[in-house]
Amino acid sequence: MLEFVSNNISTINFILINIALGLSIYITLATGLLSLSNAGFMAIGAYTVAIISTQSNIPFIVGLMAAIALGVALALPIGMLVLGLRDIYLAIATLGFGEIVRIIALNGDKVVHLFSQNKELIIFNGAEGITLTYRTPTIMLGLPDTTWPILIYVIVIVYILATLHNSRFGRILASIRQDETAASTLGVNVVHYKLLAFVLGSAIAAGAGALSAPIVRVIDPHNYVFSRGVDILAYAVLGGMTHWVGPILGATVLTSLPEALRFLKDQRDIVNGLIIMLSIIYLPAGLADPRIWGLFKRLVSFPKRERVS
Amino acid sequence: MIPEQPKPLLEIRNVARVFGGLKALENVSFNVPRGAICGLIGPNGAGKTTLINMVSGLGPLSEGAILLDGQLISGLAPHKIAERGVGRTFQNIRLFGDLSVLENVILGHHLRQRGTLIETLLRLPRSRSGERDSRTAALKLLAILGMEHLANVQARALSYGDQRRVEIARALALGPSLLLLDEPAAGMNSTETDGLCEFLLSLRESSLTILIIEHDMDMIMRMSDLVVVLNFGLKIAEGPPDFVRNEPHVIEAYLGSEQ
Amino acid sequence: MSELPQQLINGLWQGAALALFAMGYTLVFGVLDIINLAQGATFMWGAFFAFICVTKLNWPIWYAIPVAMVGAGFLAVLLDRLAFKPLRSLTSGGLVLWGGFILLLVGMVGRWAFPVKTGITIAGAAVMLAGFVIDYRSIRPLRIREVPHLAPIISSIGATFILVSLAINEFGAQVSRFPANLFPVKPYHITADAVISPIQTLVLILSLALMLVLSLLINRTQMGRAIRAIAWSERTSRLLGINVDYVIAQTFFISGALAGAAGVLLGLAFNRLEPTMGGEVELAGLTVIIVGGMGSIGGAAMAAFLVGMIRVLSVAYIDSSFRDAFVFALLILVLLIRPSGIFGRSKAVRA
Repeated sequence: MLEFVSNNISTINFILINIALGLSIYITLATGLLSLSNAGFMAIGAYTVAIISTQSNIPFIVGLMAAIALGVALALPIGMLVLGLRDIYLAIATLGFGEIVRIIALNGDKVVHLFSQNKELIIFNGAEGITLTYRTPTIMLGLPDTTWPILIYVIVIVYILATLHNSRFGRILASIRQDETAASTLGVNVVHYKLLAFVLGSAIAAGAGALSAPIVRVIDPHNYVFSRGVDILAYAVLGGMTHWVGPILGATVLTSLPEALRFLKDQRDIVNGLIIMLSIIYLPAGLADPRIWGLFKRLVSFPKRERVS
Repeated sequence: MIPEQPKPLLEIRNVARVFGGLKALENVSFNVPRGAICGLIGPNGAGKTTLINMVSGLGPLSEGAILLDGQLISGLAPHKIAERGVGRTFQNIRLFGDLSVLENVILGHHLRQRGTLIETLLRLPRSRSGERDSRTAALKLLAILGMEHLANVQARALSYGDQRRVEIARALALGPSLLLLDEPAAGMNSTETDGLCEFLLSLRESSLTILIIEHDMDMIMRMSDLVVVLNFGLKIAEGPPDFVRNEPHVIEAYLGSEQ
Repeated sequence: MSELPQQLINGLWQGAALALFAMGYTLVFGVLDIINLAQGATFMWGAFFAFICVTKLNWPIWYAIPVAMVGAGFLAVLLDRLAFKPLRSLTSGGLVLWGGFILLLVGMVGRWAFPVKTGITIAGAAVMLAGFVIDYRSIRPLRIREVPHLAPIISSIGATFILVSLAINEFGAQVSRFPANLFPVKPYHITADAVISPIQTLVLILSLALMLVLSLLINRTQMGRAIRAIAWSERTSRLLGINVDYVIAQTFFISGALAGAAGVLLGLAFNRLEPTMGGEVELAGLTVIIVGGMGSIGGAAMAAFLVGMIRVLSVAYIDSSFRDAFVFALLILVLLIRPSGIFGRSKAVRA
């Protein structure tokens, strides 16, 4: 077991990061919002940590907090501006936000030079991106100290989302997804709760981006293009958009599959595209569909029944 | 104006609604006294649903004003109007199909549920007791409607008549002073309709005011204290059922249409 | 500032090609109320269809342009059957079509030896054809469905990924170019400083001509009337005996052909073909249809020239790396201030 973990630690790291990202888009999808800005918020988180650790000696945990805080601070005004828009328009506007983040990361230094005396100052480093210095992780209780924060982060998020799911907040978000007009006539302040979901999702994505920085080490704008956002969307769509278990399943399957089946790695985009299309068409409730679990249980219990009879 | 009712619960004042160039409602005024059941009838396309939508804040008014308990509610957002105590059902049932019957009804109760986001996340006592109270209240409502056994069924799996009743329970969970019902008996058989009638009459005992759109004339005439008749966006009659029944305009409107 | 007339000319011909692309977008939106995000991939494949004709088959470019349009048109119809139609109704033909499509993909991307690869690919295509026919002939679907309103967008995002990756597989991720001598290079002088090259003239003229054809098609023909009827109410059209399924296919064909034409023309004008070229025009196209007012074909044409100008001018006077930032700024500004578009009629965009 321990050997398996240490041999595959990088895959495990990415599975955990991708679970967090899948959960970040899930919370908005569960509210009926197609927000495509998650890759952008992930970039914000990663750049925040990368810039802080290259420009100063502030510890990582503070950088993580700053990344999440920045995610919230940006998501609030953006959410207030765009969440009134209907589905397609919202998707396009949030897609636009992600692109703007990328363009800023690419050209950030030009903007910095406009305001700073020091024309040699390099912060974003354009298309090259920021490279973090490599540090050999120390092993604590069987896991590297880079993995622990991610694991704890995922556990905290799952706790938050599971608690919300079973509370009136989860019910209200589900009611908005299904019929926001009917929800509003029950006294639900629709915009308020959409904002809650959007900010929560953005903060989760920013945190995941921050945690991914020490693992990917090279933070460049190309990591956060639209196709990254589509990867994230695929986790939630395959897993299911109505229960928090969905994105966990989706992210695990889609991250480990290319590792297990080498030939799939070269065709990752085709496989992602196929999975998105096939699951939205033929498996709209995702892998977390209760009917699939019922079928699974029946299949598993089938031999037992035979033995009894 | 009905002189013996000093302060009506709902006042519709000179309300008009224009869609494009088409007048869906024109200068409609009437009052619904507190504790009354008011029937809103008229041929298809008379503007009944448009009016109810305006009361619950789903459509803007082109002219006029709507007052609840003496306070202006037209122009408020739908959730604000719901907070003031207006519950409603829809002509084409709008339950949350993915959720269970119980969850649908609890949603109606959520405004009275305590516990902030932080309290919920930390699972503090207030949020847990709030959840428990809502559950108890919702189960009680379902019990009154004789639907306890369906509490954990997915709403979309219910029969048509049951869905209508769950929608009413959900609106009642809000604890409204005014209940708006848009064709609650549509698709029900006569036994179900009788049961619904009885139930609505029992609600009046608890001083709830009801504004109801219905095509089942029998039901309207049997239940209502007051009937308002719309035709082509205009109010053509108003009064007690017996009066309205014999009003020549009303007979003409109905004979002229499909009924 | 003596550059300005030249930049305006550039904005004009680029805007015209962009208009073609965006009109296809808005046509599908008007009829089905869905955004086909795979329109950018259709655009890219249009360009590559022409590329194949010219470089592999040695056809003259005059044949390649219509071939690319027809190819892209059929690709769009196929996309509808794979990505959108199963969301409207499930049919057994649709399942067969999907089975064939997966077989085709396996054949195209798999590292098989020669006869096996071709065999699987052809078998996949044959199964798809069968599925297409079964789907078309079936009268009663297995199930008419109601899917989440996000489903078509998500499905078309998936389709885009497949189409772009296929192009990378076939042509490589690098830039491909047409042979250099397809067009004369000597530019026409419009003023002393402003010139327009023959290929740019072709882009402008052909785009304007196609816009005219589209507007005649929509406003003057039986097919156009059917398209407008479905845009107004699908149910009523069905009751009136319009073959809705067929008209939807026609709509996708036109929309794809327009995207394909835009793809060839811009591909020729910049002589730069890349599998990712659809993504860039996608963004500009989305801005165009929103600025023009969703579903409004005339609005899209006007907005395309505006966006074309903004792109050209921001590259010329500010910085090429900020080009998309300006387009986005316009997009977001319009969404926030006047979401029904500058040139369009009002339509419910706010929830």
